[in-house]
Amino acid sequence: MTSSSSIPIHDDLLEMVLSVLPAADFARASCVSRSWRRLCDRALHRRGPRLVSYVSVKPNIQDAVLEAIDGVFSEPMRPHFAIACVDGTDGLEFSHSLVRAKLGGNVPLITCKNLGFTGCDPVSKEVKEIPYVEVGHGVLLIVGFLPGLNVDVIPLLKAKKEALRETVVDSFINEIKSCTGLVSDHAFPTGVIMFSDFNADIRFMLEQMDQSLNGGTPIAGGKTECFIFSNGDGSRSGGSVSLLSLEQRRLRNRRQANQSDAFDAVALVFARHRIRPHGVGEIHFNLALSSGLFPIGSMYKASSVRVINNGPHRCITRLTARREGSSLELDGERLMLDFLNEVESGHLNTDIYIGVTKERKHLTQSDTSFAIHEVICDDEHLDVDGCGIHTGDTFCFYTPDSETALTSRSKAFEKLGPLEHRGTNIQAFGGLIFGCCGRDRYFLGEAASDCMAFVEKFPGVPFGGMLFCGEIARRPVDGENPLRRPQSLLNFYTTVYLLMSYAP
Amino acid sequence: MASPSHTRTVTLKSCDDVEFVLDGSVATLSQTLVSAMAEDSSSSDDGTFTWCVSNITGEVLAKVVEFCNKHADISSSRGEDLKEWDKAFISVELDLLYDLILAADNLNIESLLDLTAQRVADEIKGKMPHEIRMLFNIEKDFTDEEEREIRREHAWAYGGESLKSFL
Repeated sequence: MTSSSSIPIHDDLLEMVLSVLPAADFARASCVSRSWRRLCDRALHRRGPRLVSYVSVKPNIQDAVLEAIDGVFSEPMRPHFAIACVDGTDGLEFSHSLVRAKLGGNVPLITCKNLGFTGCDPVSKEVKEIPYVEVGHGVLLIVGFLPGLNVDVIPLLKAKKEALRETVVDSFINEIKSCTGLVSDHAFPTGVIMFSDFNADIRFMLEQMDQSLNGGTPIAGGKTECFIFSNGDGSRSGGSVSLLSLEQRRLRNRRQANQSDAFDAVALVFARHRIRPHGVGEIHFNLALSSGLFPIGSMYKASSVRVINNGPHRCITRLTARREGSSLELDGERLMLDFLNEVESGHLNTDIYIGVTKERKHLTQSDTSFAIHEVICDDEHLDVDGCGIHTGDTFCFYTPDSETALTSRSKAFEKLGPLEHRGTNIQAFGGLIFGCCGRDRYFLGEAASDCMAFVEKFPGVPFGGMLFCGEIARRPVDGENPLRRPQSLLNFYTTVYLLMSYAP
Repeated sequence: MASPSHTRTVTLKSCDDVEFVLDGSVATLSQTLVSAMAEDSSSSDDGTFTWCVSNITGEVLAKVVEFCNKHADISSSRGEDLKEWDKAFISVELDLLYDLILAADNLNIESLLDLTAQRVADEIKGKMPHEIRMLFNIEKDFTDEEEREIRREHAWAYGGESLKSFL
């Protein structure tokens, strides 16, 4: 009955005591003796996996970060990975170093600046949205404890020359596969969370990932303004292109501009351990998305496609096209006129996108992919962001539509919802919401609507929401229907819900 | 059968034969007493019920009864006041604290269990493993190598020092 320690209380009581310790004290307690360590392990496994998120806004960023760290570590927890979002670029590196110092350096960490974030107010428990600002003083910190999963950080190097693009993407994907193969019997990860640089054209990389990873791996993420990462063993760290150029600008006068590599994207790769400790259940990543884009007007076939480079980073494609079934070539101006004739007057000032269906013939087979591109300028030319469009590809215009967004959100929740019916003990323990800054109060009627809908659907489940302009989503195929319609991997006006569930 | 609501008073008898008389409503804080009274059929006539706690001394039981009387008194159980009262109540020596947590477990009094567990946890907070060993007189049964490995695994929990130098 009594434990081997000389605390005269038995193991169950001691476990209860340990379970109310904050994370750092809990971790130190597990270094006391063998029996304490065993009890700590038991307490953690009894609690199951955890995703904790904390939003803090303070007059200065240091206080905000420190409060958020205390917040996520207020309960027993062994951090397996962490994501920090800040609301101002100036606080990015500082926050990263501070969180890293507190985590001790062997926890995979990505710190990013995106277009705002959302979380539960720690006191009022209300959903709180922190918008994008110039000088930041807010932070969202997300920390996960995922027993049975291995987490690695894999960055995608920026190709210094266009010709090297395939090589860097190949080695990125190979690294994802090899870090999975190293720890797991599964050849492909359980899930991938990724952040990319705002200016990087990541469609090629996403398409390659889609083809290389089997259908079961969900991918979720977004285009950040800039990011920094550090991997688990401290051997690798770096930042995005935008960040580096910012830094170089800052350092130019001091002639210190470092020549270190810049990165286009970074991925958190979650892989199932080969040997699962006794008593540890299985974690699943469930992904569903709500798209807010609605197709408008006719189908077109791209006739002339020209990649024009605008600025050092951003890639832009200029298009002319024929309306399907017609032989008349329309230039950008005519295409836009065509589009404007189709839309209702209320939508005239809206963002415009095109959805392109690309058919590519390979040696033995042909496959079809679908991509959304943002229309950049709409007076004389039809220019869209990114490249990879070929002559003969078909496209049509898309505009944001709140009704479409709400309908597809209900469908997304229907898809995530039957979780509790899938097995008696399956529980949702955390959610990450990758949203679009365009889906704001004017679009959906209330601020942070997509996150509030999540809270309503999954009350009490901790979540962290991030806002982007360019949301990454790869839906896994469901087992019954391995054939699927091509999906856009980079989306706009979309909210991606990544729900983590656990079957003990 | 005597349900707690029918029982007007409960007599608790410690292992050193000290008796405490509790109001029936106070006794319902203890799940052990609630189930014991539900099972008991002998003493329903006069509405009293006697329960011997074989391993709790009178000194400890007095504290437990004091706690139950305070917490059952609805007029006094207002948030902040009660918290202050609890804080003063639980400021005891470690030995008495252990006896209290065991008594709370034995009598299954949830609010007292939470309070005592939290107080033991507060003793552990902020201490290094060797300090915890000293406090509770625990022998280190890790080899040095094992300890290094465990500390490496939990390096982040020792981040306090590096954090101080960082700030």
